[in-house]
Amino acid sequence: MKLSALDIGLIIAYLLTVTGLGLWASRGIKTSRDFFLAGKSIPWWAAGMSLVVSDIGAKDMIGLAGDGYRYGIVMMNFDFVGCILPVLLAAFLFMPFFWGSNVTTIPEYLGRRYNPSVRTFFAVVWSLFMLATVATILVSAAAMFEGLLGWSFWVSVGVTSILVGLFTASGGLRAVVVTEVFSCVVLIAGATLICVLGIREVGGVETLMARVSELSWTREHFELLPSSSHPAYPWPAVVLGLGIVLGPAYWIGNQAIVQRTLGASSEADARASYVFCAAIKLVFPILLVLPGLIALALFAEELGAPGEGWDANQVLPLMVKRLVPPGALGILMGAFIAGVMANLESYINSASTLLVTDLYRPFVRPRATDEECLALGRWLVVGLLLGGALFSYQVKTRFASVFEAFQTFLSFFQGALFALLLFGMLTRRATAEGGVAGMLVGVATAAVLTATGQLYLWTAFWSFVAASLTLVAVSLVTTRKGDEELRGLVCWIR
Amino acid sequence: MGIEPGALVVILLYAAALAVILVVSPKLVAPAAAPPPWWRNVRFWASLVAVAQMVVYAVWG
Repeated sequence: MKLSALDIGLIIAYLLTVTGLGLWASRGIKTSRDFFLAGKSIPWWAAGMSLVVSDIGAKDMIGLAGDGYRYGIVMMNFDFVGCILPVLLAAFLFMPFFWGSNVTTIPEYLGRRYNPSVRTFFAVVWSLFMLATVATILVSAAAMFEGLLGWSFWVSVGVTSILVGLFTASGGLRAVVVTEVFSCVVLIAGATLICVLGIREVGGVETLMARVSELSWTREHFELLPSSSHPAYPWPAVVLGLGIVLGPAYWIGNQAIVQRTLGASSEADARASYVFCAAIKLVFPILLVLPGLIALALFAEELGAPGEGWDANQVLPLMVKRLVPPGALGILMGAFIAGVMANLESYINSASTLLVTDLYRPFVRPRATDEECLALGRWLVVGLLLGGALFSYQVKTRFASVFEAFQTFLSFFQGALFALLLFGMLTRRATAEGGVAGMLVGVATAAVLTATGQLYLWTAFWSFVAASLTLVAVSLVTTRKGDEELRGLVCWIR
Repeated sequence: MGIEPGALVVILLYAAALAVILVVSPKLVAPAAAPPPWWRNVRFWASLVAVAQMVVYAVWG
């Protein structure tokens, strides 16, 4: 497919705008606190929009369209149950408390609440997860560029990495947030555009529902919570795995998310940013899953029924190729590039924050100067992009959809992490020994369940249960820290 | 047609969130010097979002 001059013009205009905004926002970065926490100067609305696009980006545009095609509206639960619910709880229960404890990273909090081994373990695990996420996002970008422009996988990955590296290395969190705010608007516009064009092509929502229901394998595509016999998303797994564990762990314990609110200008702004994010998420999932259903109504014969070797990442590129006219394609590509960049910037900035704060400073150079940490943070951006690019081919060949890949990586350690955060924040009784034992048992349980082919939602839930039980049992027979040591680390001792 | 069990569980979870927003959190967050008007009250907007989700699952769940 060839881009028209108008499309190319729109994409260049988008890139120039983002470059300008990034450079403007990166003025005056002098300390590592400016780079990692934007000098604590982000207003609520910017932090809220930044939270949305830290979570939703290219991997969700590609992944949710593909999985919307495969499974239907159940995928909206990833925002309805997995985001809005925990975000509301985080805003009023956990965030004020993170804010008060004055930490930069989640592992730093865990280290103070339990002990340094827990901090190191989760810093390493989160960094590896973020590397895998960078790879997942690069695969999403490659799927779109391969499908639309005919670029090879490695050319797509290379071009995306270079583009993103330039912004993130220079700007830090403030540049990331400024470009994310702009990207959020472009992303919503692009997602709306594809839904409007698709619905018009199908002939309306009722025709869409009738056409999808005609197929033999789409019996539960319009069930928000499918039956307990659903092959991938039975409702008990959605509620317990996603609603109780994966969602809260992601929104309360994810460095890329929490870092935005820690960079907010006040505690009230941080709380408002979460609520604003939840409000935007009331409509965003519809815009992301609907394209999958539209593809089902229009291109089911061409795309076929999902089975062994079926590639979910091809759904959105095909829709764009067939439905979007010249001119509008430029806007849509701008939206997609916005999603890629916002997602990548977010994870890379957070991973470099983790590596510097939780591994380099404590273990490699405790007396490192602020300038040294700032420079290292920038170099790590390059290293993480390179690592993600090298790992991206594994993700492409091993998973049917990028969304599935991302959730599988998460389910591996989120159960244990959430158990430690929950008990650590809400009870004085959780001890350092209990934390270490819970962490090890939780991750081991997840490893065994993943190896035996369990659904990732169940893996997350049972690893949380195992970690919680172990933490409680060991804490009951070991000595807890005194109240003075726990001040600012447990909700009830402020 | 009644509410499905899955939808009921989600609605109850949102009801619990509403309780946290309205009852528990005022005890954790230091009160503002003067209460904000409703349109600037974060608790009001958060409650609205929670109720909207309860309606979504009651109708489509």
